[in-house]
Amino acid sequence: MTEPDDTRLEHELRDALDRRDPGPAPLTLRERVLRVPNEPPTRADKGRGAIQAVLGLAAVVALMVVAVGVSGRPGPAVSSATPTSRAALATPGGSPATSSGAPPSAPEPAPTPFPTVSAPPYSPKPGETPLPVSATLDAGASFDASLDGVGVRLHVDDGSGERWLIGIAICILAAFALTIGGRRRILPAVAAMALTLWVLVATFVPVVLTNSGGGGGLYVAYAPKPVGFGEDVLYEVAPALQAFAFNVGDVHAESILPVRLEAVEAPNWNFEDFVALKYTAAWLDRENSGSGGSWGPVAPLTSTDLSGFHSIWIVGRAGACSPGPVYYPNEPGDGWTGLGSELTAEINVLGIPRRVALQMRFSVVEPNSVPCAPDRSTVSAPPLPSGSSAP
Amino acid sequence: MLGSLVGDVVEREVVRPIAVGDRAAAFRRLVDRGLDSAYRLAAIVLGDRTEAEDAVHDAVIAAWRGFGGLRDSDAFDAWFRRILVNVCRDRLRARGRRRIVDLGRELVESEHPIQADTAETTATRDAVDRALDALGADERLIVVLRYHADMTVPAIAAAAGIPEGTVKSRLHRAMERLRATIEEAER
Repeated sequence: MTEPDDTRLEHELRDALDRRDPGPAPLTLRERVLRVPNEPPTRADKGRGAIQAVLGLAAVVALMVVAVGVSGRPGPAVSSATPTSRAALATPGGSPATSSGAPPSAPEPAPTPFPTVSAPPYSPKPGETPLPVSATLDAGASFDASLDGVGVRLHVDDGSGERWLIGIAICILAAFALTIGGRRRILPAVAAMALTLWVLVATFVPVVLTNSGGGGGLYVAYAPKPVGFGEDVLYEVAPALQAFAFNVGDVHAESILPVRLEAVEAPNWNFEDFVALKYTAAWLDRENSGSGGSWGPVAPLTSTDLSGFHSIWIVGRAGACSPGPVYYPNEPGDGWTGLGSELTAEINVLGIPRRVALQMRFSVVEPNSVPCAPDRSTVSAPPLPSGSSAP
Repeated sequence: MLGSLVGDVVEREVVRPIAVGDRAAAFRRLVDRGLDSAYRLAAIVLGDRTEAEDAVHDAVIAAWRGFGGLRDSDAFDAWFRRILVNVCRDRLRARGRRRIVDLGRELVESEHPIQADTAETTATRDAVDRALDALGADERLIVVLRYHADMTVPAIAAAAGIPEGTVKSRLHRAMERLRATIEEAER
């Protein structure tokens, strides 16, 4: 169609619309609309007003509950149990126990007044039975192997409660935005969208926990090294019902958002009669950058930023049937209890907890001898079990 | 100058009741002033006079509910037109594919028959009418606002609550469809 055709089309269109023009509004309509301000609010109007008020109040309450629920989360659980003993170890001249295969005679990074949980200057010959390392009590040490509950939880929080809370708040805000009109709905709508974005990002942003290194701490023994095998193999061989410790390694979170480590999961924590090993506490290494190896636990694990490397220690109690220092790999005993090579941790992304798995570079396994020696019922040690870690 | 004075007087009469709290009186004046154009717009868009009356009534009720939040009475006309456009659009969408015959228009045409036209003119008119009826709710609204209410693209965008670019694209698409329908009828 050409330009004159366009003009003609426009003309035809205006004609068609004019033909549809009904003229002025009829009197009945005029009377009808002018009565509108006199009409009392309908029951539906009143109901809508009440719903708006309730939803508005609920939206405010929901936002406050979310704010309190997320920001006011409790820190890592700390038991109220009074420590019954101090088994802190200081091994003068001891070196960090790491999986890097550093020999126990490696030079200490720097003189330190802090206690270290490290391998002894001990190097058995291949095929020789590892010998236990005697614990030395250091009353002045800050590390306390008997301290229960710090940095560990029976079940770490996966954030489902927070997500439900935020989801309910989003629904309330969305309903409130839909029931009110005009620009007033922008505020609850934006709040609902912001909450949605927050929970989605905090839930789905990729987070990978990596670690390097690791090793034994309180009762370190070196396994026989096969000919030609370059890496040292260490065992943590705690006696029955005694504390053990092992270093998880330098833990780091790979993510575009800040990630905090809140706690690690302590399997079997609540079974008083559980005969095998338990995790009782998690500690931070003195070397918080992770660059200098593991020097030994210095502070209970609290909420820790994982943008850098942090060396984490797990402390526990061996089971009543743990063979302790008599363990020899070629004589596995009558059975074993293992916690595997995976550590479950609770991290926090944008204030919302998540549960992630951390792969350790070794397995936590406790061989058992039957009958147990010593008998569990006759042991006067604290009623907490322990374990051993194998590389 | 005289026009300006008259305008001031009119606006003062309109606005003053709001200042003294007589919202109902001010609302009635504002609605009454724009009722004819509102009814015409609704009737042309909906193609049904009875439904147009209902649509205008619904729009007035919605406007009265929100009138307390309207701070500037000068913005009433544009604000009310936007409400009316939304009501008409909702009704068109709810109507879906239902065919509503405007008995009123047919009655008028039967009482005042169109003068003898050529067959070609009649066919073209019918084609334009059919093409208008075949347009979607959004396109029909924009065509009516543009070619009946003579509104500019920015004013249509403000009334329909959509970007100007969307108005232009919908208008272009509607005109293409109308053109194609007319060309087909004239073959």
